[in-house]
Amino acid sequence: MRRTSRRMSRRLFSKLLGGSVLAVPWVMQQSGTAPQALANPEPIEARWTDAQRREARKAVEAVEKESGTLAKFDVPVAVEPAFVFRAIPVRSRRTPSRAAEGR
Amino acid sequence: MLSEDIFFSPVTELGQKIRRHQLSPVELAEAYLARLESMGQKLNAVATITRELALEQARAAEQEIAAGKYRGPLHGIPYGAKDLLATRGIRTTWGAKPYEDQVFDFDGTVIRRLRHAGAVLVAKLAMVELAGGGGYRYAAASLTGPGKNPWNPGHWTGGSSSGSGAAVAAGLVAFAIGSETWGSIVNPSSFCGVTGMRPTYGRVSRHGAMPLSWTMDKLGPIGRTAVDCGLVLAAIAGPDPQDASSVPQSFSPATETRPARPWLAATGSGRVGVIREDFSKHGDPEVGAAFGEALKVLEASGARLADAKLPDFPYGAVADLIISAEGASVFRPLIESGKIYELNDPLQPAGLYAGLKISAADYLKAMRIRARMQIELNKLFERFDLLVAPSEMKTSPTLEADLEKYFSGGGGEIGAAGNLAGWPCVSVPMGFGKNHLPVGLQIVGRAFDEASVIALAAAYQKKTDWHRQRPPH
Repeated sequence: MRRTSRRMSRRLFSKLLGGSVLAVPWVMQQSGTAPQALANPEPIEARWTDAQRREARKAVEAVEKESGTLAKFDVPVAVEPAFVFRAIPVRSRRTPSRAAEGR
Repeated sequence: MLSEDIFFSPVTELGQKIRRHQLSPVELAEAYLARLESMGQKLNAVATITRELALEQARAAEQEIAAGKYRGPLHGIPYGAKDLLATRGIRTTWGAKPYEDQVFDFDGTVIRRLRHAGAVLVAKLAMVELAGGGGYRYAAASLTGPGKNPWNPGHWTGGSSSGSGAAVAAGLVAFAIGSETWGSIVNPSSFCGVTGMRPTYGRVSRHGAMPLSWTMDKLGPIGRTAVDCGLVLAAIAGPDPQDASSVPQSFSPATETRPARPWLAATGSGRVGVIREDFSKHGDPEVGAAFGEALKVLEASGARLADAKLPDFPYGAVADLIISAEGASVFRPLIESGKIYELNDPLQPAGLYAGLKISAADYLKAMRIRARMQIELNKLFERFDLLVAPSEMKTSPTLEADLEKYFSGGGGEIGAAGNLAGWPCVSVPMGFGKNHLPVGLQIVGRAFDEASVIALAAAYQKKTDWHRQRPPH
């Protein structure tokens, strides 16, 4: 048990020293407080081929470009706060859209 | 042996024959199943053929009708559902390898409502993987392979409701259910030469449907005529406690005993706004020419046409950002599991991953801009009853085309605007463009005014026969 603890500490320190925040969910998983999916210490990018990295970079750049387009668009603060539910037309505004069903 | 005409008959005609005992639901289901098994597979239009269930439902319909219990115009009518709708005990793949063995133990609300209407589910229909969630570059972005267009199998069906468009066009089902977040009903309807309806956001429950973008997803019918789409909409619309965004409004279609009012009476004044596209800059000039002819038909039907211009907003960027952020949230477990590598299209994993990088502030800003868009867009309906535009700027690309390149170049903003605003729309065939491939006309209305949209589309289809054309394959 103690050996396991020491091993965990070393791994945690090495992860933290390496700057990987993913070590934290790993520890959570070890203590049974996080689901396995969150505990994977390996960033998914680590499994990518060079071509996949290029695709991902392009996709992220496209998103950044879109965000930039929106950043230039002025929306007065006074317009809100109920904006989220205005996404739903007319009468359905009464019912918040929590359903996640059905491009 | 049924005549080939049957497979291209609208639901209104099939329903009358069934009601009058001139057509057997069992015989009809058998005949459609045989076509699905032969032609459906060749066109990559089918995910799963539901033979056993179909025959069980058809026999039940036949017995009920014989006993005098006629449920309505969909009773005994064979249909297909996009493979993102949960069907109890039958696999629901979402068009994607990671979900190829997924089986739900319940029916989605639309499936359940169609069963109650007496319709016969003959197939789960092919679709673009995850309804195109992360974006896609090739027609092959599907578990079942590229959707082949019945008008020319070397060309794409459109997506993401690829199988729904192809199956209706090829006469493999009498109608189909598709879904649209941004273009997925209108696009295949235009490319395949069929009539498709995107209902108002909230009109149809999405319970049991694969979520992609919960503030934009809609389910709707694809059929031969606008009137058929109205009949199907009436069966599937209405509130549902299992989808909090569904609205407490039903929809009443025209019927034999209660015919639709002429569209001019339905809209009041017949003011139709024309969204003009600059075909000298982008798109196919042939589509522009077909649109010009369609406008003449609308004018002859009494429409008072005037140019309409969308208010100046970044529609595409806002729609893309919202769908990407919501889609990444929905598919986060898939992304983090690494199974996104199993998707066919290289853009899918990249796009889904990029979606995770969108900040909450950017997403919320997009929603704030969307709220302002809706206010400004709705002002168009102070001047117009309906809007019209080409459904697509081009005809269908080849199966090998790079879709990003093919669809680049601008135009067609009404698609993003209409989906962001939640407006209903019907796409009807309006002729042919390059390579004798179909082109579509979209008619758009204010939220919850499907009746006017269908009425104008029906008036157009009374004066044209594009929707009666049959593909050679």
